[in-house]
Amino acid sequence: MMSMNKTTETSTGPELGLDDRLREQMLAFARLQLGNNQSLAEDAVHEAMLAAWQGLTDFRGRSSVKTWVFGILRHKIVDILRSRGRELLASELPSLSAEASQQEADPDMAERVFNHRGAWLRENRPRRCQDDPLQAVEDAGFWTVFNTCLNHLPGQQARLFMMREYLGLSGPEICELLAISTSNLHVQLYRARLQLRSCLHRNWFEEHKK
Amino acid sequence: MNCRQATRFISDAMESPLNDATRLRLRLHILICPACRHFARQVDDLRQITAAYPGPEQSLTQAETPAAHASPDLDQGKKK
Repeated sequence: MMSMNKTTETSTGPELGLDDRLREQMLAFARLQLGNNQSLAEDAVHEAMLAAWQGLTDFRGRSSVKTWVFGILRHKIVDILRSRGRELLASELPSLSAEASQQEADPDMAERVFNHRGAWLRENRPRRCQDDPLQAVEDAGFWTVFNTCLNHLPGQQARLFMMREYLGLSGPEICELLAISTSNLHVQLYRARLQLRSCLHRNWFEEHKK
Repeated sequence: MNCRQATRFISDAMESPLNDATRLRLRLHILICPACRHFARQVDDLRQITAAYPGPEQSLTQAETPAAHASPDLDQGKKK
């Protein structure tokens, strides 16, 4: 998907981590959130990079440059969704509804998690875990697992989940922006949570039990 | 109410309040079902964790050496 970029060590940007590689990551994320609309994604990244450059003097602490820049990008994506949601919608409506109806008809995930009576299957049954799972956010290895789990979700589910939980848009706002029904949103958020929780526990929390 | 229904209600309750009857039935289920109790706690954790998402780097660049700015020194102790 992306190639390793050479960084130019002499200028300020790369030193701070504002290099091409980060830009590629931002673009990939913006595309996911903006329905694969390349030009809107580029707008979002461009504006975020610009804002980041302008704010460079305010920024302290280099370990979280990426978090900081992604925070800016998050706002830019929300701005674009709000101001140009209609335009986006027109370009992706067919795929959206097709995927939504396909997922309605495909109860696969729940079938793998629950038995025919609706009780947890043994291997997916949630168990008590670490005392403080929120500490995982400090761990780079955790985010590798998180991203892998996220990438295993159907694209639309991952997108809705991140719009809701990362971009912080409200449910009604997402429904309006994407012209989907509340029940569609809720069922997709449910499936995303079910699968992500299960994936994270299998691949991280149960491995790191104290 | 079975676990499949309970987990759906737990997720829905994160979006908008359940009606009184459903909330009561869900509470009763959670009272007797540790797995769903853990589930409720864990999806709430998932919400807080996701709010701290640092971007998609790791999944895209797994094969690469962590760059100097990726703060690779945070997790050495826990990797084992």
